[in-house]
Amino acid sequence: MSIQLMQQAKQSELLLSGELSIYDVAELKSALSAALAASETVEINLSGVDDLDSAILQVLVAAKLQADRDGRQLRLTDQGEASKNTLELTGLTSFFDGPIEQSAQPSSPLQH
Amino acid sequence: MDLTQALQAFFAESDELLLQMEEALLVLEQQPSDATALNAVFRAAHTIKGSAGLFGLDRIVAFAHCAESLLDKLRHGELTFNPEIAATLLASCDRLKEMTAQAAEQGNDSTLADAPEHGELMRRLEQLAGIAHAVPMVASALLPVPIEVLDGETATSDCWLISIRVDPDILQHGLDPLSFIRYLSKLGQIMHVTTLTTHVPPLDALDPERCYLAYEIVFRSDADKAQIESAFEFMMEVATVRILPPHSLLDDYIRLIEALPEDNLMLGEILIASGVLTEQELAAGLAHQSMQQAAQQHEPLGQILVNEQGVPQPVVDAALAKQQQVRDRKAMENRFIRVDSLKLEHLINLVGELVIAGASANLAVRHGEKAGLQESMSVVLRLMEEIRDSALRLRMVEIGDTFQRFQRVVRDVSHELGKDIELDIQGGETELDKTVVEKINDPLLHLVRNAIDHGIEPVDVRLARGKPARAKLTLSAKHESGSILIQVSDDGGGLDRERILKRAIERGIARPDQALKDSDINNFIFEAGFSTAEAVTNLSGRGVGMDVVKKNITALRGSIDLDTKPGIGTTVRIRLPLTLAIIDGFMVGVGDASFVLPLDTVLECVDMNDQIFQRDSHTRYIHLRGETLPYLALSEFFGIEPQQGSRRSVVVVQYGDRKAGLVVDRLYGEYQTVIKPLGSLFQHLRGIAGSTILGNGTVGLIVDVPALVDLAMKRENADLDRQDARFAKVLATPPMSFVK
Repeated sequence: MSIQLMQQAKQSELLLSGELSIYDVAELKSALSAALAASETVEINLSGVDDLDSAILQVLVAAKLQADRDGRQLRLTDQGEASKNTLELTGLTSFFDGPIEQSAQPSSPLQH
Repeated sequence: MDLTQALQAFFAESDELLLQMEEALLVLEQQPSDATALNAVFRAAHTIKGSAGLFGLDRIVAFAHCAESLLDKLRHGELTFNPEIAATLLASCDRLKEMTAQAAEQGNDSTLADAPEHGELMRRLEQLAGIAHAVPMVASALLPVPIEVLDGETATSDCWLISIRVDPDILQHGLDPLSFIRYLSKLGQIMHVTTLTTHVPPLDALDPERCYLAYEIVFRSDADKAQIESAFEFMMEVATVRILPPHSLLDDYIRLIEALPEDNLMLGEILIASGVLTEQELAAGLAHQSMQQAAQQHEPLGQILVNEQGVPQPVVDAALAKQQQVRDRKAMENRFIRVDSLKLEHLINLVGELVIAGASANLAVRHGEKAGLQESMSVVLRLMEEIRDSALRLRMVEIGDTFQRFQRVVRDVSHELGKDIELDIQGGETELDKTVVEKINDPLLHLVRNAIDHGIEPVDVRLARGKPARAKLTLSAKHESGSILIQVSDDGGGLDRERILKRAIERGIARPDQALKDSDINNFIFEAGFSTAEAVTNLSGRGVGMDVVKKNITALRGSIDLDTKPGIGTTVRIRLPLTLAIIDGFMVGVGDASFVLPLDTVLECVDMNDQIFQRDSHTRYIHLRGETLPYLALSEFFGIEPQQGSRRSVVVVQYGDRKAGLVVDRLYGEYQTVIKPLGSLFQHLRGIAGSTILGNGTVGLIVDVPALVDLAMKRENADLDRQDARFAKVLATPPMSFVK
């Protein structure tokens, strides 16, 4: 899997492609961390990703939670069919789209 | 697992609830449309049923359920509250009291339910509720079969609830929960998945090799439990998967919520959002749970009982209101805290010791004369006084609670005897020590029953006498000069003087030719054996007659007397000392000894002066600003050599409405006094109420002011004439009054 980071003003875009697996997660985590620190908006482009597994998913979740806490924007874009299905299956579609609906973290600020 | 502590808590909670239930029922009797009261009754029955269920007290559950059905109909307006319903529900309340008491004692409720009146009462409840079928609820609880009769309510949802909690290192085993969930979707229809992100750490702290996500899945399927379980077979070793079938008992959902590691309220909301429980179902379960949490102090009770098959328990009805109400109740329950009374005793003892230590420190500081130190000391003393008062106040309870309980008694006895009586309560907020309140209950009960029984006339007699048909019984309490005054007053026929006198003569307590005052005659009823012949009510076996009442009051160092007017009514007055372990005292000196008078009883201090000093042949009086007061010299009374040459003072004390003067040698002033009980050897000393340790380490005696006041009034003092001469010599300057 490859992670490409494109930064433009206050916006970052991470382009992920290939099959993401647990082995790539550590790399993804640092990339996300850095991106969030540097930008106000982070977009994660999943067009090149075949499917999401738990390892990747939770990093994305952690990143989103972090973004909310820091007042940043984090979005998933260009999800493929499989990724979309996984997100739907886990009920996380709206989690990444807008305000957190899951009452899992009641203290998280609601951001648009 | 030791359940006894939890059981005791259950009993305490139920006791309170049943009290509320009873009060609400009494309100409903007068105002049948009072919705708040009806809800209170329902809630009480409902909550008791729920927690009884957790302890496996099936009989109580069954019985409460019966009452609940009736209450439900009332709440929905299908029935209206009438006297028959009132009586039946009150009887049910009593029944529940007995059953919970037995459960607390024995840990089970088996025997009581076998009594014939139990079944009878249940049938009456069912009948009133319009339940026609003959199957008694009790029978189902007797079945030894583990899966219970579905007489209770279950969740309406027809979906399975699957809760997945994984070990963090599941990923390292090469397993991904997501793949199992995908596989699951082949067995049926996944209606909703909630991914719990509660355990996900901040991004920087996240360990990529650990799994932090958990899942709640709502699943519709025709598969059976075994098949669903097998979908997760390969993950079983590194995860916990809990499966609840469709239409599970509400209790099971609650237990599941408890077993899961996340916050219960949050889990509840998730279950609602995912559609497996309705808000009402959840609220019912949560209210239950908050009662449970208040009931146990250590481990969650739910853990003992968690069983995914569903332990046979009848269910919690889903009828309570929204979560907001649940939260309100939680907040209200947290206002009070249960404290072990031994701990409180210990605290009060410590405060006592502190007061003594403070007094001696103060003495030392005063002698040292260092200004700064004295100032600090006075701050310390002031704080100590406040702590003392607060600590003692912990033990104080309002007497109103005790008075309120008599509403039921008045109602029951008046119905029994066909009289119409209203109970009026005054001064319910008056506080007294908890132990005193407990001990005053029985005597008060007897007096109340007496008033209803003998004092208050039947309706026709009252009307004939021009009195209102509804009689009034008043219970009042107030603080009065260092003691608490409790009165039981009725507007009945008063005591029959002639009859009492006749009885007294019969019993040899009085002679026919004796000149007796009204108060003396009235006091005859306190003689032993006087009342038993009069008793018509079922007080036999309790061993309570007026003489026992008096004994009880005296044991509390109180006094009792009564006032009666034929045709008008009777008032019984009970005076009790505010039994505090630490009191504000006023220290005086007599000879070499020191005595303490309760500050509350001290009115003023006056110098002895021959102008005010007079006596007559039977008692001795002083004239103070036009008032005559009997007096008593402590030196004589206690047989102490009075100090020569000292300026004597008279301390004017008061008890109730009686005043007297006590002659002492020296006045020391206010003094915080820790009461130490007298040893058993000295219990019968007249005039001494206790002892204390003074700042200098010596023992001071606390004067029993009531006793001395009494004595001063009755003095026979032929042999004390000679003392007067000695006193006369000691008199000195013009009077100086130190008015309190």
